[in-house]
Amino acid sequence: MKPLAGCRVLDLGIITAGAATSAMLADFGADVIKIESPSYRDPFRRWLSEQPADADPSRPPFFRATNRGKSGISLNLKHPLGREAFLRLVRSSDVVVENFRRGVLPKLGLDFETLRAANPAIILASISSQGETGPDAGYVSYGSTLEAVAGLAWVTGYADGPPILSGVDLNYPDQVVALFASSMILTAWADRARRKGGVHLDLPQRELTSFLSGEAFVAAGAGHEGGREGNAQAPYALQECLRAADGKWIAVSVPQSAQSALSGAGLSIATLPEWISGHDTAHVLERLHALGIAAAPAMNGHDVLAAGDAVWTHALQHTPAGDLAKGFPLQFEREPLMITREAPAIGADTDAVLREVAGMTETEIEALYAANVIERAPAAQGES
Amino acid sequence: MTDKAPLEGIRVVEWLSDACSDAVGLAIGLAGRIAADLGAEILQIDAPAIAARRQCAPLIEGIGATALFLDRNKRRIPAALFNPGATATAADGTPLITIYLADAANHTALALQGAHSLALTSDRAAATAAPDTEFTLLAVGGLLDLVGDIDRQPMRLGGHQLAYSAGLALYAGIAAEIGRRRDGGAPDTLHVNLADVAVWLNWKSVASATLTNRLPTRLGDGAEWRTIRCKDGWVALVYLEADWAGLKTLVNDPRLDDPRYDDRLTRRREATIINAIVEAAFLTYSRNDLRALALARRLPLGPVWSPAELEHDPHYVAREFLRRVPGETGTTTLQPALPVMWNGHRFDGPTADVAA
Repeated sequence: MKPLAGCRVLDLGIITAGAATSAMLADFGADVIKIESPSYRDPFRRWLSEQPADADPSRPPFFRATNRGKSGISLNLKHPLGREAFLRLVRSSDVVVENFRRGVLPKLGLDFETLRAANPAIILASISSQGETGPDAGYVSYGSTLEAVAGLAWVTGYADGPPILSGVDLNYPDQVVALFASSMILTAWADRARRKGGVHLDLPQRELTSFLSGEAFVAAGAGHEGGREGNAQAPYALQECLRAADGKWIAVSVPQSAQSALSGAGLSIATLPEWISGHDTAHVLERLHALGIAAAPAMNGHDVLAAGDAVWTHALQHTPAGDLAKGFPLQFEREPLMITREAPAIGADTDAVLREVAGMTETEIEALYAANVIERAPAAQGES
Repeated sequence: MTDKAPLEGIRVVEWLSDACSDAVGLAIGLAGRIAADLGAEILQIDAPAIAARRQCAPLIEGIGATALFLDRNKRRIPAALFNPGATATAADGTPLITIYLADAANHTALALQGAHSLALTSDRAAATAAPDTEFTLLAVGGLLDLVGDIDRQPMRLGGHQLAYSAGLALYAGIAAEIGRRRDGGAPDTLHVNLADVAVWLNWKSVASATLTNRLPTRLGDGAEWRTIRCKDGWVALVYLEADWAGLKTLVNDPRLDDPRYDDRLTRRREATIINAIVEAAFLTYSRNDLRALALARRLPLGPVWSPAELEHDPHYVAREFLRRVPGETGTTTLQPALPVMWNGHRFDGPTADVAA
């Protein structure tokens, strides 16, 4: 039995933070319905690959990677009929995930109290930059904005340099929030039989980013201000990226206790950087590993993919059609997580979902279509 | 409002072997801290990795800050008194759902206890002869290569981001397992390893390297998003296409009106020039000025605050996110709350005290 078997999720999530949260819920066995609007689609659909093989502009690689495992409908929530159709979906669903700008959901007439009136047990997961309340609730942020305002940038960087961000290619807070938000939804789902009613989960990425630097706050509260940490880190006597003779950077962590092993090889912690600079990467790794010292090359994206099973097994996956997709940060032994469905084309499942989940008649669905409230994928594109 | 903390009636046992790496110990520690805040009973069996972090700088009245953060609301049990086969029951006699968080070396012993759920945490998916640390796992996951200056060494993000991300993944698995057990399902074994978590975090860079002609790497001063100076510190210059016009208006420098800069690829290529122009303008503003401007103009600019400054940040104060709570040493410690509100309520564990 999958952990979220029997759980239906309405996914209003976009880009990474919201969409990746719902993708994890799909991995755990939930029936996830991605809801886009004819007038507002997930911006990840606009990210186009430079590979000719990825010619289908409705499902570029980043979109496919974070939306596999879901069905998809296109429904205009700004239209009264679209809003009513959405509330009918809420009645037979368990979870709503959203990461709109604060204020958008209430403006649509779909705040938590409205959802709870439609379904008293509903779990609403609101993933936001700053949270539902507080003076900065309306602050517009992207992931790296939050690294700055949450204290992470303060401790990141060369000891003699400015604060550094993870940047546009990592956008760290957007990645980790999917782990945390999905875990809180799983917790709320596991608690549903013991609880009296629905839950609104207020999940600010800024707070999560600070929480993940928790010890810096404990230290600061006791007068240890800290600053840019560089690569050094207690308890290691030496932790740094050092350049080998072939130009590659090698990450090493050397505890004080390694001094005697180094001495036996005619080395010391103090002379290690110079020794590494005189040898190629393969030789350095072989010698340091033989001495029991942690050392690894600083890989780039190409290297990571090529390393495959030597380093990782389930972080990246292929969809049933063979496309590379975001995989799993964890895995179960007896009942493994797996991707069983491609990301949806626009409106791929509109009719089926409105009929089977919202319980709408064909006449009602045709009325929505006539009013331009819904979109349907051409039959050839609807693969799910 | 929920009637009870959601993990009330759950026991989580943190059981690390003597060989457990620091990184795995930190990951398990964070998962346990989250479970504790949500009301689970946490038994932390004494182990060298836990003792080590209690002595790891910076020390607050003799105890490591990392231990004070991770090990709140946990009961520490001497290893000699721990019986992994024991079945726990609540006060009313009902059996508690027990989740064991173990490292690889303790897996074998626990695998025999079939009635319990097991979460196994390791450095890599497959054992290797090479020793690992959190830092070297960041390297093999491609996360170091992305951060820092192009002509300087790759840089890690501050703190323990990889170990704690693995802790988040571990907790997600625990929550899934608790749901399955409460629904009557059979226990399963969960695997989390730090190398897979690193690659999972880095999926976008790996996908870009594979699916496009662009190989992401660290760009330092030439990065599209970076920090720049302002009057009293630093601010994160972060923007997407939709924000460019608003940023130009705020900076008010005619050089940014060059029509070539309406193209993102040109902006990326000439990021060093653009960043210098923006910095010259921002040097006339303080971080608080920029916060107010960002709010008013809906721009995603991020003043860089220190952890000490954030204790008094109006937003965090209003949300009661950072609180001084009774600490292990008899004084108070500044602690971040679990970063979630349930119907406006924060859970903070079954008791407000630290491990005895």
